Amino acid sequence: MSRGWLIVAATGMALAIAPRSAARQEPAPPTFRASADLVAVDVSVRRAGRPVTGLKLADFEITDNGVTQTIADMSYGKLPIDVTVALDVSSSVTGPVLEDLRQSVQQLTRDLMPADRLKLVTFNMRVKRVMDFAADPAAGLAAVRQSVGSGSTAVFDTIAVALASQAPPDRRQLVMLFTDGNDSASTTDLRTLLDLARRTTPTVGVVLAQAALPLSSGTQPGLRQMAPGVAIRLVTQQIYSQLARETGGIVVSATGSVGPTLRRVLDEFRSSYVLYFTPREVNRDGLHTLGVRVPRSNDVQVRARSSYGGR
Amino acid sequence: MTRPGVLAIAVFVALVVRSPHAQSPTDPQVTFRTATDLVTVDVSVRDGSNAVAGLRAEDFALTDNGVRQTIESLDAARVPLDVSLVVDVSGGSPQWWGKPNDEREVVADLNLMLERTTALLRPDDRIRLLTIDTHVHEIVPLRPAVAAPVLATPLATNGLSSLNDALVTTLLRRVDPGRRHLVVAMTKAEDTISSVELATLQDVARRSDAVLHVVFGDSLTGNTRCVMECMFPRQRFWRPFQRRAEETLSTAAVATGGAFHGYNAFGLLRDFAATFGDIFNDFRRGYVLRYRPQGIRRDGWHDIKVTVPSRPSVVVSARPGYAIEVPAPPERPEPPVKPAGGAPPPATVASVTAAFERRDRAGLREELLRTRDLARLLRDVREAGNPWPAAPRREAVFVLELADVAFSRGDERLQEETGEWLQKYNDLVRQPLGADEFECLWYWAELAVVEGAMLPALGRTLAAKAIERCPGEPRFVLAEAIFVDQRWPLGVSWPGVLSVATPSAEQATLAPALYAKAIALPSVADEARVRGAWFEYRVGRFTESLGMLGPSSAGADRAIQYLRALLRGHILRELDRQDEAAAAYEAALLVWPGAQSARVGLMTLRAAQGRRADAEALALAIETAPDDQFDPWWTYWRGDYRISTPIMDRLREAAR
Repeated sequence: MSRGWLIVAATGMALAIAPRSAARQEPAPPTFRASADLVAVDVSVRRAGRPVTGLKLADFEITDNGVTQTIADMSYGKLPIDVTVALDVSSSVTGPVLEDLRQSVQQLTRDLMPADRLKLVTFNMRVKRVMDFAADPAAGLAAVRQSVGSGSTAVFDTIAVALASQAPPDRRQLVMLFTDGNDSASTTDLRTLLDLARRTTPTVGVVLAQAALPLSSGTQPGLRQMAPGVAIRLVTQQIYSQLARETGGIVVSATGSVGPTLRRVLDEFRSSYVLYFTPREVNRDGLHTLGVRVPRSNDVQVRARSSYGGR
Repeated sequence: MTRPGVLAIAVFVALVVRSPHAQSPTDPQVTFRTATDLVTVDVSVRDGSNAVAGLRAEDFALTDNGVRQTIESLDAARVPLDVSLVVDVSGGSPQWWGKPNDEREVVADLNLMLERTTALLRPDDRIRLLTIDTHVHEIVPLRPAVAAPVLATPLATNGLSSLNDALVTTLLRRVDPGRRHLVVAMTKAEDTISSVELATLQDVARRSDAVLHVVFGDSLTGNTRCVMECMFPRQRFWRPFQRRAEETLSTAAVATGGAFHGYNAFGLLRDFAATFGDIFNDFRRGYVLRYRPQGIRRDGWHDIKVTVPSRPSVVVSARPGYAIEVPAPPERPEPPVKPAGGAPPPATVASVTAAFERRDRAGLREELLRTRDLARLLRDVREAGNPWPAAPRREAVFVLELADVAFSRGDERLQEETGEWLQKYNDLVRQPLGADEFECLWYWAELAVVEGAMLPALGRTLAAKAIERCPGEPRFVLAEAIFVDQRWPLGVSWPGVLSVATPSAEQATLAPALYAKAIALPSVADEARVRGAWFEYRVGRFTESLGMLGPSSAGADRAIQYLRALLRGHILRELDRQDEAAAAYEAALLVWPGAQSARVGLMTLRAAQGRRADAEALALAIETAPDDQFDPWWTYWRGDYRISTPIMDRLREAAR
C-alpha cells in the first residue's frame, strides 16, 4: 500500500443483511430474524495490489461484535453486481470532462457481465437518475452528453440516496461516485451519512477528478494555516476515505481519463469474496462491528466493511 | 474658447433638451420629426465688454449638426433662475481664500456671500449653497431668494477637497422646465479625495443642463498671507492624491456655456463678489432660444452653433452641443447576430456592451460563460473605459453583471482581480451628499452577487462599507452575519478534523452576535433566526439552536418557512426526538412539496429507524423528481443571491 494515505480501503467489500429468499415488499425491517438470518460480507484480499485467489472458507476468520462466527458459505465472482454510477455535473465540471465521462461510462457498460446491471445518476445540488437498471444505456449516455455543468455540489445527499435505494439481496451493490470537488450543497451531515453507510449494503468507491492530497491520520493541526481551498479539499478527502473504510470501498484519483479508474474500482469489487454467516451469541439490535482476517497469511491486505446494521 | 482670459468677453449659453412627447424608445435610429423634442439654448452675446440687448429670434442663426434650425421662441431676461453656489472650504491648503482657515471667519464670509448674491436675485429666483470639504455638504438647500439665509457654526472646513464630486453632484441636478440653472463654483482647482475623475466631470459637464462658472481662488504670486502655513500645513500632512485641474475645469465650464475665471489681469486674486456680479449680470442679459430639431438623427451627440449674421462683430457664446441617449428597448431584445451554421462569435467588449444595452441579461451571461479567456475580456473592458461616460452608475451596473459571471468561474485569481475592480465602483456610485436610493440599491445588489459567489472575505469588506453608507439597512446587517458564517467551510463537521471543522473563536463569537443583531430587525428577523439557529446546530448546540429558531412566523416568506421546518427536523433528530423530527420534515414538505433536502432528511431518518421501505420510496422519489423541482436549501448559503434577479432589475432601472 504505497499510497496508504489515499487508498486506505483499497478493496471492495459489501455486506448484505440477507434473508436470501425474503420477499422485498415486506414493510417490516428486513433485518435478520433469529437463526434464519444470514449476513453476507464482501471481503477483498490482496497481496501487493493484486487479488489473492483460491482461498478456502477455512482461511477466513470473522467476528461480529467481537464474537467469532462460523462462516456458513462463501462465493467468489458468482453473484451479479448492481453498479450505481453517480456523476458530478456541477459547474466545475466542464465540457471535455463531461465527454470523457460519457465515454468512460460507455466503456463501463462493456466491462459488465451479462447479469450485471448499471444505473446512472447525475448530480449537482440536484440528484437525478438518468438511467435505471436494465434501461437502454444509450439514453443514459445521451443524457450525460447533454448535461451542462452547473450549480453547486451535493455529494453527501447523492451518496445517501444511492445507499438508501432499493438493494435486492441476491445481488451485490457497488456505488461509484465521480466528483471533482467538495460538498457545497448537501443537507446530510457526515455523521448521518456514515450512520446510513453502516446500516445499508452498498460498497462506495469514490473517484476523484483531481490529484489527491497527502492525508495523515487523526487531526490536522496545520489545516488552519493552509489556504482555505486546500484545507477543505483535504478534509473532504478524509471524509471520502472514512466512507470508503466504513463500506469496504476505495478512493482513487483519476488524473487522466476516468474510464480506467472506473474499471479498476469495478474489477477490485468483482475480485472479492462473499462470506456468509448467521450471527450467533450477539444481540440482534443496533450496529454490529465486523472483523475479518486471513490468519495464516500475514502478507495480505484484507478489507471488509467495518460494521452492519442490525435493527 | 478654452482660455479663461478670453472669457472676459464671453457669454453664457445653456442648453436643455426636453421631450414633451418622447419618441418611441424602440426606434433609436429614428430621424427627428416635428413637434417631438424641444431644445432650449442659453446664448450670450457681447460686443466688446458690453452685453448686446434687443436682439430678436430672426437675428440668430442656429445649426444643429450642421442643419439650420427654426427658432420657435426667444426669451430674454424673463426666465427665473436657480443659482447654485459651490464653495471650497476644505483644509487642503491652510488658508481659505487668502485668509486663515478659521471656521468662524469662513462662516462669516459665506454669510456675506449669500447676502450679496441674494440681493442680486429676484423673488422668483432660487438659491442653494454647497460647501466642499471631505464630503460635500448642502448647507442651504434650494430656496426662494426672498431673504438671505444665515449660517451658523459648526461647519466642516478642515478636510480634504472633494471638488469633482461636488461639481458633478451639482451639474446633474435636474433643471425644472421654465427655469435656468447657474452654477458658480469657488475653488482652488485642487481635488484630493473625490471618487469622480476629471474625465467624468468633463463628460458630465457636456451633458449637463446647467451653466458652470468657476472662480479660481489663487493668484499669480500665491497667497501672500500664506507663509509658514503653506510651507508646513497644519491640518493635512497626507492626501490620497492631488489633482490640479485648472485646465480641465476651464474645459468643463466652457462645455456648459460658462467660463473659468482665473486670477485677474494683474495676476491677483479675484474678488468673488465682484466676479459673481459680472457673471450674474451677463447671464441675466442672455437670450434663451428654443427650437425643435428637424432633419437630423435624434440620438447621439449634437453639435450646435449659434451666430448673429447681421452683427458680425459680436461674440456669441453657446455651449458646443448636447447629447441624447436613447434608452434601450425594455422588451424583446434583439438577439445578437450569429453566423449561420457556425459557433457563435467570441465575446468582445462591443458585444457584451451591446448585450447590456439591449437589457439581455441571459445573452450577456451566455456570451461571458462561453468566453474562454474571461480575464482578458474583462481587462479589455476595463481598458476601454466607460461606454457611457456621463453615466458612471450605468457603468457600475454593467461591471456588476460582468463580475457576477467572473466570480462564478471559481478561478481565484480572476475572483480577486474582479473583486478589486468592483470595489472601485463603490466610490464611483457614491453620492457625495449621502447615500441615495441608488447607492443603497447598488450595495444590496453587490452584496447579493458576492454572497452568491461565496466570497466571504470580500463580502465582509463590502458589508462593512454598505452599513457605513446605508446605516440601519437590515439586509446589510444580515449580510454581514452571512459572510462571517460563510467563512466556515461547509460539510466538514467531522470529529476527526475538528481543527478545521469548527469555526474560529472569532466566528464562534461574532456570527451569533451578528445574527442576534439581525433578529432585532423585524424585516429580516425570521431569516436571521433560521440562519442563527443553523449556525448553532453546526457547532453542536442543538438545544440553543432549537431555542433560537423560536415559534413559526406566519409572515415569513415561503422559503424561510421551509428552511425553518427543515432545520427543525435536523435539530430534533439530533436531540433524539425522532417522531417530532419526522413530523418537522413532513411539515417542510407541506410548505415546499417535493423539496429534495427535506426528502433526504426524512429518508435518512427512516433508514435509521429501520423503515427501509419508506427510505427506499423516498430515494426513488428524489432520483425521479421532475427537472423543475426546486429546493430553497440550494440557495441557502448564497444569501440574497436567490433574489438577485429582481434586485438587479431594480438597480438597472435606477441607473437609467
